[in-house]
Amino acid sequence: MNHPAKAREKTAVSAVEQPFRLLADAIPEIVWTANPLGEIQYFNAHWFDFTGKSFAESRGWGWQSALHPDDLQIWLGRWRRALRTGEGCEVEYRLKHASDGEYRWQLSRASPWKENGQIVSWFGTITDIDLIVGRDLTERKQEEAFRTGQSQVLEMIARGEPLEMVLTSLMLLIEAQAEEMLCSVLLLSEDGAHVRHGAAPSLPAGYVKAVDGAPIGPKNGSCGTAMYLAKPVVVTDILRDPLWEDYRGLAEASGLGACWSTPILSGSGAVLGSFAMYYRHPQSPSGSEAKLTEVAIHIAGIAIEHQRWEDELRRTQGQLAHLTRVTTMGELTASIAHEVNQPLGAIVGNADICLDWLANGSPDLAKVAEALEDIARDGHRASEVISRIRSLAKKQLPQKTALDINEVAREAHALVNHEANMRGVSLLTDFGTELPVVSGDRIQLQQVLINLLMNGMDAMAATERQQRRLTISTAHDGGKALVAVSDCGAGIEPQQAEQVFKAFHSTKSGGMGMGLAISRSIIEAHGGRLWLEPNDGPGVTFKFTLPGNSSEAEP
Amino acid sequence: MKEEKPIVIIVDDDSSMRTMIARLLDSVGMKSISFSAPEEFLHTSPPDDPACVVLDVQMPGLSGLDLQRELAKAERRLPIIFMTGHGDIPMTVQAMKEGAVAFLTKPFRNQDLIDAVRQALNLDREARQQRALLANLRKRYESLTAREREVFALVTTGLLNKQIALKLGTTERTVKAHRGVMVQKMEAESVADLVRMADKLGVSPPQT
Repeated sequence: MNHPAKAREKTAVSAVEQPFRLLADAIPEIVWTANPLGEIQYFNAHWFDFTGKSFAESRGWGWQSALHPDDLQIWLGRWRRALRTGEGCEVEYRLKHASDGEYRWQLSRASPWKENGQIVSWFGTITDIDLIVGRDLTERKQEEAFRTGQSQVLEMIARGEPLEMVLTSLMLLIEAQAEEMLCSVLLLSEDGAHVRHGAAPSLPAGYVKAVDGAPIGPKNGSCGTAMYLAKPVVVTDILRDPLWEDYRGLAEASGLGACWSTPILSGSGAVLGSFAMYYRHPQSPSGSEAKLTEVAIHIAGIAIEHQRWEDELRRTQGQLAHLTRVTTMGELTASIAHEVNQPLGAIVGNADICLDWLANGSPDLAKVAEALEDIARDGHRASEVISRIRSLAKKQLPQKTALDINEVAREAHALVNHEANMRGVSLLTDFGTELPVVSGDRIQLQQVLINLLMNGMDAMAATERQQRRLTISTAHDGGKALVAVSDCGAGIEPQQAEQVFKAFHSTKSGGMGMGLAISRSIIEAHGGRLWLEPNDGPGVTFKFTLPGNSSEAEP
Repeated sequence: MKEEKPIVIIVDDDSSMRTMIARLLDSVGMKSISFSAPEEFLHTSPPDDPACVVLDVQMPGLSGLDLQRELAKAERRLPIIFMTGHGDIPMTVQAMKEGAVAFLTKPFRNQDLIDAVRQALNLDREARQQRALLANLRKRYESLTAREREVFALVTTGLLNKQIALKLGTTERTVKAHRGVMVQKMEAESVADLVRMADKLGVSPPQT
């Protein structure tokens, strides 16, 4: 309570005994104590000398502002874990020195003081290790950050993020490792003769745009030449190097002085693109860039190859989907013909009636007009049927747009409605309202629905006519849209429930066994799920969900 | 006798076809009534005037062939003209067997439909007359006593009064008296007339 030493008044903590304080101040380290909650209650004099902070500023959790922001979270994490587990901890972090504002490396330790197994208090020391390990530690931390950055980029690749985003992150990571260096990746076009924009987050936009689509060749700048030769090309002075003859003006206008380019190769040695380091002024490699280049071309190579496989997979899936779609349409031919024939029959009939009226002189023009209007309407109806079918038959890569799933379901319903009539199946709908907008390929989702509807009809071939009911329903399922197709057919044995989704598994004599396998791959490519559930009554229900378009679905 | 008004019943789920057929019939002065489903038509009371049905084979729910069967079951025989999107031979054969008047493939010539409708209405008119005659005949037959019916049955097998008396265990005189009343009640002019009536009524002689 009554401390005579005025100069140290700010350190006064009644709980700390005088001899302890004298001892603590005599040690050439920072010493602190904290209560079991982790609130610091005492610092020795060295803390105040080092940080320049008062006790009031530092007590409890107030000391945080003295730590380097990059290190603070690490220390907080360990310190909180120590408080939770009751075990001591040790972390290297940087502390800001009051004299010059520089951060210095410290080794910080905390140990518990226990009585009868209960923590009574925490003791800590902070030892200045900057002179011993400072530089080394900084480098180590940087390397660690670089490695973390690399794994983050690799994770982006694994998650299937767009190639440009992956490469941009990679370029920013590489640029952060060296002063004044600008990076870019160019891709080799499919024809193998041109360069395509890959990523160049720091190069002038005009330059990036001008380079996109330029040919490769033996004298085509650093990158075009590197891709052409499949060898690194180092241009230390763009304004003097003959390789840049055609692009000199562009480089000068963009303020680029040196460009060192290295080809990016696939696992089998084929050129995929190039990685370049640019400098504003003429510059020669110092040797330290080799490691960065190696990392850049390695990861960029993985990213580009991954993208190519993904494209190839998408193309193949698209072709297979188209093939099965056309097969399904073959099964629908008879009903489609009927659907077109119906309006055509009415058109021909009405036209004949009009001709008769006209032939008999003084026709009732109002009646003629009415018949002609019907003809026009039926003509449109027939052409709508045709265009629906044509869009299904079209061969194109999947295109994702914002879709109302009810609209997709309605179109699929219209396409198979006549088929259902012919098979004596009642097609029922139960559409939910205010469903989330989904992002997807309209044709492929229609295909899935048509496939499920056709399967449902097949499953009811042996069912009593009055009981052949097939229901399409849509609903809200969390942030997702849920679509269900429910039949009253023979049902599927539980042990077969997963088998039906396998390729070439068919229970039908004429089936290819691809329908459900393709349907599932389409739904999964949309980020959704397709499964089947047995009904309480006869038959099964196929269900699929699609994530909402706008935001990440709330569960 | 009141003037008859023939009516054509159109059953098709396609509204364009219904409108077109109604317009076509109207243009040749024929009345029609339309239904979009066979069930709707089955729930209406049968027309009093000659009628026929123009029916689409492929419809949701009850099919055209089903309707044909339902009508037969309900003793509402009406001539039916079938329309189909595509000529399916087994279906045609089945429909014709069960009394279809015609089977038209869409798109058909308007004249073909009109011809088929006229033919169907004539058939129904005749059938109605036949049914009316039969009903009248049955009424007369029902006015006979049990003994007179026995005499009627035996007369139509070609037996003489003497033979009939023997069969019925009575005298020729009594048979003659019954026969006289019976012929009068049946409004017959000859034995041949009686034979035709028995045929129509499905009357056969009592077993001995």
